[in-house]
Amino acid sequence: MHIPDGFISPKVYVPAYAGAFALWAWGLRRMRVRLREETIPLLAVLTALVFVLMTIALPFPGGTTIHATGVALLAVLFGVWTSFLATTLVLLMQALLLGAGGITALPINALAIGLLGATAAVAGYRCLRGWNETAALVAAGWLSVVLPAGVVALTLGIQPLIAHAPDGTPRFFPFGLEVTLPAVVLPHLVVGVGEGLLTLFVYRLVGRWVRG
Amino acid sequence: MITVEHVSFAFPDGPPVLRDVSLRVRDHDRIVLLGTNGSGKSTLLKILNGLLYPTEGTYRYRDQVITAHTLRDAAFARRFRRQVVYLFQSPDAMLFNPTVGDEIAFGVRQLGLADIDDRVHGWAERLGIEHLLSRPPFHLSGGEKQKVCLAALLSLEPSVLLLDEPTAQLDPRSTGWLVDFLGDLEVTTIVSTHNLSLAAELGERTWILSEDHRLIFDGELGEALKDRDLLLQANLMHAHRHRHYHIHDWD
Amino acid sequence: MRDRIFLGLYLLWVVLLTSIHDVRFLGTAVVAVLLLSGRRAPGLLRRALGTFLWFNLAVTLAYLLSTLVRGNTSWSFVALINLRVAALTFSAFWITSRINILSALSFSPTLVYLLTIAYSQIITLRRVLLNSREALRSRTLGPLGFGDLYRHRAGVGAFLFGRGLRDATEITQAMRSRGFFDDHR
Repeated sequence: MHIPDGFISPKVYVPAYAGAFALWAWGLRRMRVRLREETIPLLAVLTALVFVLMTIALPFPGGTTIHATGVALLAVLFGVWTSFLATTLVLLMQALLLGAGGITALPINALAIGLLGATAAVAGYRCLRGWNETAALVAAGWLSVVLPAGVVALTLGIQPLIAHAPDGTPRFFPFGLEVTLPAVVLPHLVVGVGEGLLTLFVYRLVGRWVRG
Repeated sequence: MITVEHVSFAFPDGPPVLRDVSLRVRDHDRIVLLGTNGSGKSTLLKILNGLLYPTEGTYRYRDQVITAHTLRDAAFARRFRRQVVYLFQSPDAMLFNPTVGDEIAFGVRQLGLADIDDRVHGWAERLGIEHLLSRPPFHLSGGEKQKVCLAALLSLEPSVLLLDEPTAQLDPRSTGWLVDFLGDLEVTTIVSTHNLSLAAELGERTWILSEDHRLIFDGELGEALKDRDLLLQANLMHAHRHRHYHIHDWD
Repeated sequence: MRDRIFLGLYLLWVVLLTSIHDVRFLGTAVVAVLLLSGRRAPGLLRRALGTFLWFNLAVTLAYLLSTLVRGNTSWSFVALINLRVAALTFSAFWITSRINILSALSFSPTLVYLLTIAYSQIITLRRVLLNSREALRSRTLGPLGFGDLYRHRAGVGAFLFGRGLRDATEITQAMRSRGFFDDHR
């Protein structure tokens, strides 16, 4: 979800950074407790993996291609904190290596995709796997895309409310929730299906041997 | 200096990787570890480097048994890791510092010495990579990366240098360079390879691991290379239908 | 040290650009960054525009459409939002080309190690991905159905996973072999 810098007010991204920093520190500590030595190499490798997986184009009906994130897969296999930290690093690397920029959107994307998306994926997976594992995996993938889309839509949609000139003209993103929610969330309802399918297929291939 | 007594190794729930291996290493030995792929060479080297621990038997370095427990002693671990170093087959696995200089300095810094820069430059010069010191290691060639790793390891001034198939990814010129370089070192070296034609240039003694993961030869390299039956048995050599035997140079 | 300071200044600059809602200030900022880039300005301009042109165009047009109808168009907003995005994006491209990121982040060795290893792995895994794409192309006689394509992608994804995890173990061992973890105990 590449939002160029300049559409989000510091009133949003500064607190987001503050919150994100605290959570990153906490997440790293939790990982170290569980993994000890392997934390750094594993996290780095998973970051690279997500980075490269994101470049894989998934064909979609209509001749388009979409790109999956692999966040749900990561979350289900390695846990929410690993997913959060790896996603953050990927966003950081994308900002630094690919198109420089996006530094103001980074904490929001990290929290929305890496933390919330991962949590939703794990929650969905755990709820449904007792009933049907296939559905659980697809749901995990779908949720990992749709919920963050909602958060991003929310972030953009509230800009006119919280940051505007005294006469009411917007200063950042100019459209409210009534526009952003459908505009952002609806397409992602479809993208989420592709992510869900990818999560399902790759998990089936690697899941057993990773968890062992 | 090193004694390995009846060591066996298998991963949990996995098949045996090493079976009842016993051997000794003396100071300044130059040993070539021969064996076909899957015979257990890397595993043996990792056991010697205290990265894996025998499931049976003991490994002693300078009379100290090496186990997960003994390596938990920070002071001992430091001494051990300084004296016994390992060059991984893939240099990518070893490089984790942002520049070549940092990579070499990493080891030196751990020694707590004062003249870090001099040492770094010194080793970089000896390895012919001084011009790369400020570069990040990612985009170097395979041979250059390997030199960076060697500089980083040798800067610790170790007693034992373990090398896992160091010529597997190298071009002929780099291979020649490496052979000469290793020949000039005053360190005990144990080099693993499955390339027979290079073996003679890498050491005087040899250990041969069979496909069955046992040590089937421990002795003079020259003798082993003349023993066709041994080499066939170890799958280090093949026989065509033409009914003559010769050694191929494959890399 | 120099890189760290520059990074810090850049971050302050970002906050400034998003806090001062003055068209002249932002316009000056855009010009200033372009001038600072000297000869690299055209390249910087081209690459940076590529990242925000379409999005901004879409937002601007949508805004104009919705407000012209109601008659409450604020042209200063249109200028403001576009200049701000331009200033921020140009600045971001400028700073990344001027400083060594790893050196700027050296206040956190963990972060530097993570980024270094990750970057190295990205190169390795990308090569694997490229090979698998070429392999598929060389084995494909005609158009493939969705099922086949997804299976291939999943297969590649799984292979990358396995490769990555194996590499993680090797890297951990290599770091342990060099005493990395002994220090940090």
